[in-house]
Amino acid sequence: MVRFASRRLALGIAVTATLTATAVSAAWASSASHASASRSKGLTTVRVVFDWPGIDFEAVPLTVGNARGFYKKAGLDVKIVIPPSTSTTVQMIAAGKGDIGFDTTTDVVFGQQAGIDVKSIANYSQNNNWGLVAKPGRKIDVKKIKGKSIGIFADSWTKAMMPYVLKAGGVTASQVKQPIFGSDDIAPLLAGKIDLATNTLNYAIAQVQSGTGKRPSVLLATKFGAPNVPVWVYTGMNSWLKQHGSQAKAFLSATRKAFAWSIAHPAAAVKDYVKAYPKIGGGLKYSLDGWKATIPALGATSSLLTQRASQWKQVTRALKSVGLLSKPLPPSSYFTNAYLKG
Amino acid sequence: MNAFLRKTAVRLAMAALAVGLIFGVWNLVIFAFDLKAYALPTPQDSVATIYDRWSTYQPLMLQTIKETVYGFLIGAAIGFCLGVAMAASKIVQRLVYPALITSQAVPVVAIAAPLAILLGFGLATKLVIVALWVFFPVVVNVLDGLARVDRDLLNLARVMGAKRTRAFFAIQLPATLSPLFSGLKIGATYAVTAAVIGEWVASLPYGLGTYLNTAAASLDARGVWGATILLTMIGITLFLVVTAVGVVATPWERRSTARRGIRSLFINKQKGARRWFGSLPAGSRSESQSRPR
Amino acid sequence: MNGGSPKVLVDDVTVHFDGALALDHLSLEIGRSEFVSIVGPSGSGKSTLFNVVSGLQRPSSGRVLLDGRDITGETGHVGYMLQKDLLIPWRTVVGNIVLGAALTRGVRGRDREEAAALASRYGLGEFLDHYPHALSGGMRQRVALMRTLALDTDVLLLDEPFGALDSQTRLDMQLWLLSVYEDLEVTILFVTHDVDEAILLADRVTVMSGRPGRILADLPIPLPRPRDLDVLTSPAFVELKRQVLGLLHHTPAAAAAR
Repeated sequence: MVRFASRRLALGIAVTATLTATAVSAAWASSASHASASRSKGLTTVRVVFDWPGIDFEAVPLTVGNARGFYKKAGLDVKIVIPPSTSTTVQMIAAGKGDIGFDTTTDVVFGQQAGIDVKSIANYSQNNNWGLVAKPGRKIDVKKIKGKSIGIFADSWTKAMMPYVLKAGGVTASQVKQPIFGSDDIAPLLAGKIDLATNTLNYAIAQVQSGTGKRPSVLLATKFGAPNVPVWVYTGMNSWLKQHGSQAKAFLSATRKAFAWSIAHPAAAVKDYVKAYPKIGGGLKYSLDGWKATIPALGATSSLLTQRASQWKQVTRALKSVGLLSKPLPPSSYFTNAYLKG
Repeated sequence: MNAFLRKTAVRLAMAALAVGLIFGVWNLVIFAFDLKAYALPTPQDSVATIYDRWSTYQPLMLQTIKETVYGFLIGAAIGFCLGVAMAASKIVQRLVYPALITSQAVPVVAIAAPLAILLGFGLATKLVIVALWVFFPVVVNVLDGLARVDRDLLNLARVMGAKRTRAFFAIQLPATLSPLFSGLKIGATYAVTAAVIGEWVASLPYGLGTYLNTAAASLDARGVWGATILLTMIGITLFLVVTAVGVVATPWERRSTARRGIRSLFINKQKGARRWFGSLPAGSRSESQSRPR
Repeated sequence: MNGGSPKVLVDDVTVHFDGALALDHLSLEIGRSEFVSIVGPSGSGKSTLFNVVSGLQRPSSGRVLLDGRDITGETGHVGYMLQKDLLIPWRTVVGNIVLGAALTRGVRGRDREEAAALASRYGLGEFLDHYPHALSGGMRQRVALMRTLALDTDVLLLDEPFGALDSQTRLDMQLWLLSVYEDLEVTILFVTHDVDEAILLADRVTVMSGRPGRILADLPIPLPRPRDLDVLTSPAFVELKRQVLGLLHHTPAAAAAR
């Protein structure tokens, strides 16, 4: 996964990410004293747990939803909760420290495999925009990766995608170097420490553009055989959804409106986001570049957020084929569109 | 030999009991707090995971052991040399000591990331991080050991005509052995944790620390705890090895007599007596007059 | 004093220490194989005298001669023993006895043999491989004395070597030292606070003054050798003791002795 992080933020992320145990308790403490359905100003609070230990422009629709009153009109007050590391989002909503999760599709599959009854209730993006990134001007030939160093992250999506990279390159894992980064592999790429980086391209493009003013070389993984399945989804624990179905529905309906507005007015939307998070998030230019680069992945406005069973079939098939999933479940175990209606 | 076997058997039994106790408490915690498997698997599951995935764990474990042991040795050597240098010169001591304490006070996670940028993602960064944690208790202990050598003993050596370097190697250096091993034992306990943190920022080649990261990312709790058990074993083993070497290196700490060496076979007391007593036969003075006390 | 050139000559030694005068133009002659006890109040510079003779400290003026040779400021010519046994914990009894050789020319097989013979002769034959911590205080001091004897020197400086022992052990050690002295040909300077001990062991008792250190008096001890316990209660001994005490505390008896 890609996120641009300012130096100070990267440092803070490194500190928290390495102390997962204390980090989880920190998350417990940090999620404040909001009970699941507390009320403030007559609005119901919904806690959305982000997928990365630092806020960034993918949260634009949520902040727009708050800023432009979409959530208020639905009787909701959405609070974004930042997790302590790149892989604790599922655990946090499972532990009740959040209501809705913003996460990757692979995290849902692995969550179910671990016995956590987490369900995907809406797609964030509709396409797979993950791929390889190189310095501006350098060509990427996936067949020539033998002996090269490819920066990766320790999250489940990367784990699911890398086998496709290796297969396309005709190499085994031992024939390439895959240094693992905590939160930022674009900076080492630009510094020449690694040959290629892996990332979702909206982040890669935004980060390289704001860092060098040029566009990076990119190669979508779907071009060399990776399945075209969405990267991110909104999730919820089945038990919570059953109890708070109307809240979930209201949340998704308002979020869809916020998405549509943000796509139509990207500059204003990003301004709202930067106003809500002035100190962190990378700054105006980076966030605007990033949001603009995200929009193509969101799909047609008419089918925003909607999931297909086929996408889950593809995900489980892909994970099984690379040995990461021993027992694929039927798509209905992973997702439901029920809360998108109404 | 019998007593030795019995002692060893008792020690092994106590170790097994200790492990059993830990596993028992572990299971109890899971039961008492109703922890799900994805949060904390049982020790049995974790051990089973080690068996199942041994082919995966083994190269990772070897890599982490390599980093831990090499880093430990480097840290020990640096710590020892630094301790000796600081004992030899008050100026060096005053200059270096504050820097040493700062090096320990700065959180290693803050140093680790810039270190990886400087030294890369390979072995070097990890060795530095492990050595950083190991060398400090060694320095402190060696310094203390050297400071505790009796001034009068050094004066006595001088009176006997010893040169300073001779006295250093014969009197001061061996005096560092006992405190050195105390310091090494402490360093050994930290070494594994330092290696894991090193692997988090400098991940090539993959070790158990990197595995912790990636397993946690796919909610693979059993993988995480299997690796954790292996890491704990590495740490304990290193500690025991260091302790054992310390026991062998400092026999006077727990024995009354030295083991009879080959040399003792060649000592001829009659020949030696000639220097002192000339023609006096050895033992001519009755023992009662020179009563041993 | 016996005829012939002195074994050790302390020639007009003055030592300034921290601005004060520790030894004031002190001269002392010790003959070959003589046993000289030195008594005096605390701070009278007895230890300073030993430091100068052993070469640890250079005097501000004056010299030290050994067999006529100037050894001022040079170490390695005499043996030295303190109240602390200063045995090295990781060396055995034999290993400690040969320490002098170990620190200088290297230990030869013969050194070990001599050490073993010495130790066995004086009751430590069963303890040759023992570490110091396994020995009693008296045994440790015995080893320390043997270490001093084993050096390639025949002059020993003993600075209250039995001061830390209990009185029973101390008596044993004094008798033992007497027998060692009578066995071997060594020249001994012996510092002590114990007047009984000084007289029992020595051929001469030298009385030093308080700071600055000067020789007040030099009393010959004509008690016959070999000496044993009975000497301690003989009339001759008591008379000598009276004289020494008088010298130490400036009584009329002291005046009579001079």
